[in-house]
Amino acid sequence: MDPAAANKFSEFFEGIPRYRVAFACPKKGLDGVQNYDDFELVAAATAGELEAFGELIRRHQDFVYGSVLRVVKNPTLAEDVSQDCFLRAYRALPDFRGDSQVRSWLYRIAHNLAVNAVTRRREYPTDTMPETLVSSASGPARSAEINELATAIGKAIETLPEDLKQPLVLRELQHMTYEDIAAELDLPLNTVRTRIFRARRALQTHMKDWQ
Amino acid sequence: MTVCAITDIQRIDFAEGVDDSIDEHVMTCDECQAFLAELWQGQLQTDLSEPVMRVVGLEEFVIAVIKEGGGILARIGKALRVYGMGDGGT
Repeated sequence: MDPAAANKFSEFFEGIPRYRVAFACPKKGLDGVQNYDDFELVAAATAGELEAFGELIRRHQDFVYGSVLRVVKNPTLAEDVSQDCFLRAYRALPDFRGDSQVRSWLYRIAHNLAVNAVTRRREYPTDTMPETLVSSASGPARSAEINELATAIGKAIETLPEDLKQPLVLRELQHMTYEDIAAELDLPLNTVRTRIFRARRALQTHMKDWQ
Repeated sequence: MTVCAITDIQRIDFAEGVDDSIDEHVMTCDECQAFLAELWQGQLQTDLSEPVMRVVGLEEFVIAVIKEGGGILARIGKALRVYGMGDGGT
């Protein structure tokens, strides 16, 4: 395009606001939003810096997902509800007054949505995902399915890191108490419980296809 | 500032869904939420920011078009008057 035409074009478009899509943060450079605290991210997102809201999602998505999964107990549904939570949070940004932590605010939104999702699932059970690992097959078919499932669980346990695998095996396969496992592995009781919790969650993820 | 009296064991039971009795408390307790955030870290296998930001971007675009629609149409009309319809125009 010749320079004169280019000038006419830019004159023509002058005054049209740019859409609120900001790929860079003018205040702190390209990686700037990562240095923002949560309140700064909310302020920036409210002012139209979408990248700030993206950072807010990345920062809190595990927490939101965990809180939703605790209630809905279905990983696929938990992901959907978590996405919905962030969308609602985005729309409610102008209403955030800053009198609680951002995480707290997100938690409340996530919790309400999760409870609603569970209620809806009860009211419309056809929407539910199958929650049992083993189907209603009977006889040899069922027995083959159980064997297949046992092999899959064994393989999934093998993929766990050693620090998660050990306490899980002692708990689930040897049925030891948390206290005994703590003594056996010479670990604090809370560490044992945390590791077993994480191991179960990791297994759930591995076994997603069986749901 | 109120000191949180909930033990880590209670928090883990809560996270596992074994004990819901601290539900209301967790809603407002930064200390419990910080513990849970650490516990739940790394659970999510996908990045939600991408699909969410796609929807947010689209919403913003639509809002901008609605807000600026009149202005844009006026400018297009002006452009047509100034530059004409081009070769395919009448």
